[in-house]
Amino acid sequence: MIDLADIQGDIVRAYGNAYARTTYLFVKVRDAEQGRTWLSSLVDRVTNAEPWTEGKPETALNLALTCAGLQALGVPQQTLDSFPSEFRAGMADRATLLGDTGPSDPSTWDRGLGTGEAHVLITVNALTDELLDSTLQQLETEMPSAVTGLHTEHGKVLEGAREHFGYADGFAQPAIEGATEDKTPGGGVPLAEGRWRPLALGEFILGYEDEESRDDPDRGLPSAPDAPLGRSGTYLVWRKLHQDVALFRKSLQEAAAFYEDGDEEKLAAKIVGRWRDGTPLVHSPDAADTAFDAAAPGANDFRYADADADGYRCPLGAHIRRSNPRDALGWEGRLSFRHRMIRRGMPYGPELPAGVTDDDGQQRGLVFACFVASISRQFEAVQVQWLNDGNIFHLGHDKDFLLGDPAGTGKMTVQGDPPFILGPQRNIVTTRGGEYLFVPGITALAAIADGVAG
Amino acid sequence: MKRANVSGQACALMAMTPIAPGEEPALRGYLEGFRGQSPLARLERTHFARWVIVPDYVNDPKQRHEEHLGGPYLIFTSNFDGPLDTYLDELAAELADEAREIWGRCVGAPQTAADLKRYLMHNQIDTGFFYAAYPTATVAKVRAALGNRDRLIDFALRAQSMPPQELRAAFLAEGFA
Repeated sequence: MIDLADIQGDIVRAYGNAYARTTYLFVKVRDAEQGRTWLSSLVDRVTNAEPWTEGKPETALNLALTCAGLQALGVPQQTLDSFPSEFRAGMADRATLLGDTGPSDPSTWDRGLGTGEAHVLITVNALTDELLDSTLQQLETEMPSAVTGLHTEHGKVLEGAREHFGYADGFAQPAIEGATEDKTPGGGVPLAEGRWRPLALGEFILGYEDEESRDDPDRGLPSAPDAPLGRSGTYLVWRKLHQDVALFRKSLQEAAAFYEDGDEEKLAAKIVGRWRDGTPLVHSPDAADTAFDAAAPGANDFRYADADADGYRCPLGAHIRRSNPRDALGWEGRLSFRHRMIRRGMPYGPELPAGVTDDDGQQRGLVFACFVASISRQFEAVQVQWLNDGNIFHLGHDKDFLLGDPAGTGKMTVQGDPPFILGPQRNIVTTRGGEYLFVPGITALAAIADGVAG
Repeated sequence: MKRANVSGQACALMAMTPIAPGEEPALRGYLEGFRGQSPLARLERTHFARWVIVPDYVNDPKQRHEEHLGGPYLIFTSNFDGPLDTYLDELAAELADEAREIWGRCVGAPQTAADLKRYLMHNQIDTGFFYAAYPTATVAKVRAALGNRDRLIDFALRAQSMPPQELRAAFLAEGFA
């Protein structure tokens, strides 16, 4: 049984596009006692994972803490030491590993991010602008003098649930046993004869069996922070990724001029592995499927090894094939199923009007947010080995075309007859900030607020 | 040279030398001072190489009697394009200054280039089994191939927009080796 009342909302089940507005508010805590009193007043309002029987609430509130935040709230050092080293080090400290260099270097990040000052992240989801404003206002009024806002990011669902480059996003979510088994075909672990099975909850929520422990009676539960923090929690990787939409459009246009009859939309699909509406290339290599329905059963049910081993449909280095290779690495997916992430991204900033290829200087991009039980095994492994390198896919040092490190010499090959080559990436996406956060369960959150966390 | 030290044209060398009494901290400091700037980069036939200081044995807490090394040792290992003989000549000539700082702090410190070569061969420990991922490719060949890859990518990018005649001329002009 999953203790949904103790797990924060939006993790095992997505709020989805239920909310038009999502705001991320990072705050700093200067005094542990004041901070804990303030936190206590919020705990009862935190949205948990129980199903909404009376429709969606007008707003949802969720909390996450950085390691510096746990410390600032007085969590004892011994308990902090029980957290994994990458979480304690923080995202900025891992910049070289993650490819956050050059224009993405932490020294260039937005104020308050990656400096150890960001302590608590409050995520507010709201049905309307008015509800959002009043909630934020109330939160601000309630803050004691020792708690101050540092950085605010307003996310908004864009027209057609697309991200700024124009792709519908967020289809491939992991299927979790006992929670999201409806997503199993395409979202679980690939098995023989086209079958799939859902992933163990412990891959995403601490205190539960994961893929390593559940079939092995001799193994204990996966490692987790000391009690009472090690139950019902998870880690949140939060990244603000600026998207240079004008540059992306220009690069695409220039490249497509020499691609199959100048077919820009097809080249755009090849870069990602899906047409802009989400139709997977493996299912529909020649054109988007106008009848594509992401919610339909089987919409995300495809594999690479048999259907498209050579990448003639979905290129070997396409974004979705890199970030979620399914069975593309061989061994029926056994090299990839422990590197899955629950993604809850949200675009920020105004859209660049259609057809514009000159930068308007506006800040826009994606707040990448994912939930994992292990930051290093799941998020970092995908970022470092699958997106920022091509070795495992036999692609030399090619990098992901969208996220790739612009200092690299990687290219992207679109397999075909003849193959087409996209040049080394420019600064299409740059990191503007990020934090590794711990998302405590409700009980754990109360323990932190009561000063009894360890 | 023992056959186990060789795979294709690649060779393995390991030499273990006792560090002179009291010299370990200075030697460690000197090696750490290289940071990203290894003098081994000047030996263009080197695939991988390292200096390792072994301060003592690791003792199993359960073993009856603790065992200790007589003193700290320096291990030098290198995987390189053979043969050993000329590699050591190059090392002795090219790394003369560094060698004085490194092996000069070991027992029986070699004085001249010829000394150093004899010294390393005398203290060589033969390999049990040597594996090289690309036994026939020299470092120079690997570097050239990486350079060719970048040039080829650049060429392929330009070529995508060229009509056949121009493509032929451009390809010949590149003269890919």
